[in-house]
Amino acid sequence: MKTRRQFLQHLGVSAAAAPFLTGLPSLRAAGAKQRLIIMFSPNGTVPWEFWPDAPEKGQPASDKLTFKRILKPLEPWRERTLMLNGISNRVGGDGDRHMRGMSCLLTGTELLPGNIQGGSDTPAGWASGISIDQELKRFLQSRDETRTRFGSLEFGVAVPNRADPWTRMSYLGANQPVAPIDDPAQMLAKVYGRMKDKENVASILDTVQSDLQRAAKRLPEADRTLLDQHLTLVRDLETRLTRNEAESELSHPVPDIDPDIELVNDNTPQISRMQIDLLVNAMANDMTRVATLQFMRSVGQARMNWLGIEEGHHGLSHDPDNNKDSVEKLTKINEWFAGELAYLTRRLAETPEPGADGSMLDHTLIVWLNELGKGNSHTLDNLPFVLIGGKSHGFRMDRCLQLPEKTTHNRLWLTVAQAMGHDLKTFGTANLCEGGALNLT
Amino acid sequence: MIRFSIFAAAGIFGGEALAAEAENRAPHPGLAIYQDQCVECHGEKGEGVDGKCDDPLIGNRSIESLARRIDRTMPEDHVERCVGAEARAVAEYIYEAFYSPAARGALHPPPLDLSRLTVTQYQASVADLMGRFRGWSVKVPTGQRGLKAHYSGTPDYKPVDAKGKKVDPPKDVSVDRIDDEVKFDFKSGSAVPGKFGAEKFRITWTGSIFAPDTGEYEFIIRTQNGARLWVNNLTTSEEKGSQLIDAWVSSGPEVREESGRIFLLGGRAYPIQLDFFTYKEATASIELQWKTPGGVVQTVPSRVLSPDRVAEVFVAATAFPADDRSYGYERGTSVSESWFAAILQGALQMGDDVMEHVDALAGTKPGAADRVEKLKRFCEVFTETAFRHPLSEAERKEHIGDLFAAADTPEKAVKRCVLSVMQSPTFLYPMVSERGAEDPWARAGMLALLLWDSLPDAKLVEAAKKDQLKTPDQIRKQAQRMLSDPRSKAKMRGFFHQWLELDRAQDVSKDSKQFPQFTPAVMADLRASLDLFLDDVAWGDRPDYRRLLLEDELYLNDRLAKLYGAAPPASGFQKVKLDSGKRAGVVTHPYLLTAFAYYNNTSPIHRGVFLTRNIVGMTLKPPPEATKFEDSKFDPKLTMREKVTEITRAEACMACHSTINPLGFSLENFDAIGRWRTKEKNQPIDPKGSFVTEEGDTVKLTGARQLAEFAAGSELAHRAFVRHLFHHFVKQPAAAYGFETLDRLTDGFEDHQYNIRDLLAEIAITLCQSPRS
Repeated sequence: MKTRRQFLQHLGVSAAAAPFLTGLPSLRAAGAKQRLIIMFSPNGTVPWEFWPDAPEKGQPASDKLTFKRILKPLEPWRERTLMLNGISNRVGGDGDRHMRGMSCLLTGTELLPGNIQGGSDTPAGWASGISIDQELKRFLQSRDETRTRFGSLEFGVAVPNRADPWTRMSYLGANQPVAPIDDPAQMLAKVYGRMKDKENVASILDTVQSDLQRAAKRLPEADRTLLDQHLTLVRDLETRLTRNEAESELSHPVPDIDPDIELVNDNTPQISRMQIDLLVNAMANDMTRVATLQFMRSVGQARMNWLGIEEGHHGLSHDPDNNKDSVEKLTKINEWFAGELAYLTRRLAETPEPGADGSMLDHTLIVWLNELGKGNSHTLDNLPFVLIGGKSHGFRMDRCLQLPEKTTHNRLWLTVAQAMGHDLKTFGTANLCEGGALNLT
Repeated sequence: MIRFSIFAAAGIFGGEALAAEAENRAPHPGLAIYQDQCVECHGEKGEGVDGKCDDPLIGNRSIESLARRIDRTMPEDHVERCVGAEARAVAEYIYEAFYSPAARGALHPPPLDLSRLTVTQYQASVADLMGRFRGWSVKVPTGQRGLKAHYSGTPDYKPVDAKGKKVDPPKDVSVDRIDDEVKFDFKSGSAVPGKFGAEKFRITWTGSIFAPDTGEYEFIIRTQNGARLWVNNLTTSEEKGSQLIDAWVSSGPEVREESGRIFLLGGRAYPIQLDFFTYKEATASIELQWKTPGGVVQTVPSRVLSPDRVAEVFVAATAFPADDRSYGYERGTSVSESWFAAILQGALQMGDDVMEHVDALAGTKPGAADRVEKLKRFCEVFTETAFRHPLSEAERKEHIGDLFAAADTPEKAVKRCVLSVMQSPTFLYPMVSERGAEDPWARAGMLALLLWDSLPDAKLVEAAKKDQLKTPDQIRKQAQRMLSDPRSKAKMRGFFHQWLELDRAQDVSKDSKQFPQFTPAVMADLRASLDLFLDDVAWGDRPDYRRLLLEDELYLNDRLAKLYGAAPPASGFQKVKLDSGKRAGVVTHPYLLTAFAYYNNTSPIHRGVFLTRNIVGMTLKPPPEATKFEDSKFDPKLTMREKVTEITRAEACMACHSTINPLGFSLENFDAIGRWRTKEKNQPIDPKGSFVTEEGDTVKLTGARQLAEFAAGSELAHRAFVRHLFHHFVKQPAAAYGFETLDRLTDGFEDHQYNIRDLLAEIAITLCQSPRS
């Protein structure tokens, strides 16, 4: 991980005004866009508060979508929602299930041997292959019509700043985890450069100028050249900043977020909204068409005081099903995640698609997923997969699709890739792709 | 001292101090007579009066000669009115006031160049500006070397007891010790056999690391296990990722190399921590390497490590355009768009850093009732530290009051304060201070810049407050104190590098057939050897300039000892007497001899030019025509001396080469990598020669040692050394501080047994007492 300081160095600078003017997408001809957002929340779900009830005895299996407690916040987007029941992470290999759940989730391939111990399983290291978001980025960036400035952005919310297989789901390739950025200020700097500091800098340039003028007066005429040159540079910067050339080129202005928010547990709700706003904004400005949004990490111990829950999330997820109090809290926690997903959905639905008909949601597929099916059993079966949007991907929504048991998640990634024009035949471990892409149309 | 010849030679030397001195004295009795009898025709300053006496009163006559002439011929219409003692008085007056070359220099001194902070000064200043809030002192730990190591692991145990019952692992045990360097191969065993087993153990190394030079450092961890490295970042908890290298997750049994780069300022120490762990892996090993700017990858040597922790240093990582060096020393005498962009970027980086730690820096916390007051107070301390003086009401209003009034949040105001202060001319151009040269704050600021390239520290501020920077004694005492600070050492090292033109040593390569043992690692060792020697002289108990030229001992490590033919030292670098006393300090240090040489041969011309200018202290004009030395064009049987003699034979060349060649030939006993030799192409080396000094004395040379001895005893050489040192530290022409500055400093230098530190103290006094500084 880089510190913010190191990060900002990498922005580079060629002239004084450059930091305030960079970060612009190249505006290209508008066309039908397809975007992908993958949202992660950890530690399994509460299946009976998540999945639609099984059909009554004697009734045939049904794809009917019902919104149980956890998914309630998404009910306004019934027509845009597709639940996938029956998906399993069947990658196997070294590492505990949290680890494999997390690091094999988007990669669909085994962990390398390593030194990271989880539970009583064999220690393991990083995933041995690329993740689907990075694979799609690579694909989209390889074509002129889909290339964007960043290709992908990895957002985090309250992700502890440590790198191990429980905290990383995106991979550039074997052994190359991608760190999510969980500091909105850092993300803002990455996406918009120094544009947010423009106001601060502009506000003090008058002071600098009068300071320089006063200093020059104290010197004999002949010695003033240096200060005069300096003054000219300050004036030039002021002109460029006030011309406001930067923002007028953006179809969506830089979101107004508080860059000084403290990255502490209790600020998670605000940070989450900031990150979602930034994500939608970056996509509206076509800086990227692929994004991940990672809440905490596998085994994360978020303390959701804002829900009145003092215990850590992972601890609660281990409690038995008959612990009503814990189950209630876990339900609330997952409901909160669904609420954030609903906010993301709403922001996309409210934003008109730049240069095309409809809303941004019409051109975006959101996949909400989790590394476990259920916390206290650590099952990697029946993972809670929810797809939102999907119109541009041609998926038929408004249902809870009952897939055959233990359908591998590799096949879902083939489906998503193919829907975005990337004709992958296998992804991750090849023999887990048997049967090919799922039919979601 | 042959003062006159110097005066005569140089209209370039001014004499402001002389003039100042003259002003402080009672008026010369000759002045009244001059005003009464001479001014009508000659003008106030001897400039002449149209129609009466057009020629200005300037010339080279002595006072005696002037007095005789006045006695006989002046005033023209009443020669009897000014005779004898009165004529003598007038002669003395006009001589000192404007007639003599010295007085003319004083009337038209070279300008003191208006300068901004140089890049080095900027970097040190911002580091110490933030350091103001992190202990306000710069420490480089001395004493014990190496890093503190904490080893812990699980003792071996049987996981199942005799009855087949599972046994819980015993508690981890730990061992603390100091490790010289981090380079361990535990193979399949434990790090501390007998204490804990090989299956699971962990090591944490902590302490500080010294960066010898400013630049980009690459750190490399080699391990097949898990490791993390932090450099200059105290936030080392796992949850706060700030590590330079994260290699915590291993990947199979192969040794991995993970690296990270970081920009560090030379002459400072930085906190470092390395964590290592292994779990159920076949083998374990760890090595911490680095590559210094322009250096080679090597295990981080013990000599730069210390078990003591130090505070984090704020390092401005902005890329600056290089400063002007056309005068032979860095000067901040130009501003450019890229410089301005760098200053702005630096201000923004500083703004980010301040905002990241704003509550800690201001000593408050979110929600505190007096938080805004504390933030304002922080801004005040920040501003006065950057400005090097207590704030005036106007400054307080402009940089703090107005900003807090205008910004919608106090955080914004703090950020804007930082941005405005970091771009203020008061910070960037210390010379334009509205305070006079006598002001103690101006003096404190100047001393800090002179000796540290930085801002005043707590003690200087204290002295300024108490007005204790007045007398030469007070200034000398401060200077002596300041000279023990690491920042002075860093600046001194910069001086040596400049004086010895070590830039030349970058990317040196040698013919691998002729010098198979000469590798980049040897060059890195030689650099370390030279730096150790220079530090030793400058900061040891006898900082005598002559030792730089005359010491016959060299610091050698194992590798160097083998190559240069000495007995290998017990450990690290040790002082060794090489070639039975034929060595002579920097003059024969292999690093320089190697740098001033060709790929496959010596270069008496390069060596000679360097010796002429930098060691002996004579000036050389640029060559009248560019001539390329092409080895292949010579008869291969010729020695290098013969080839050089041949190629510089022309009269136009010999104007300078009559000096350059003999000086260069005197080092012919040292080959292209600085090894002693007595033969070249089976012919005995002839290092003898002679040259004529600028005073017209002929000096006979018999070899390197004798050349060094000549320089050590030569006033010209002393003067050159003083001038180099003055320029590097002051970054202004010496004459701008008074026509006689160099002479006076050189005299003092000779009187003080060539003590380099005393010389710096005297320079400090000169600057403080100059009305122009």
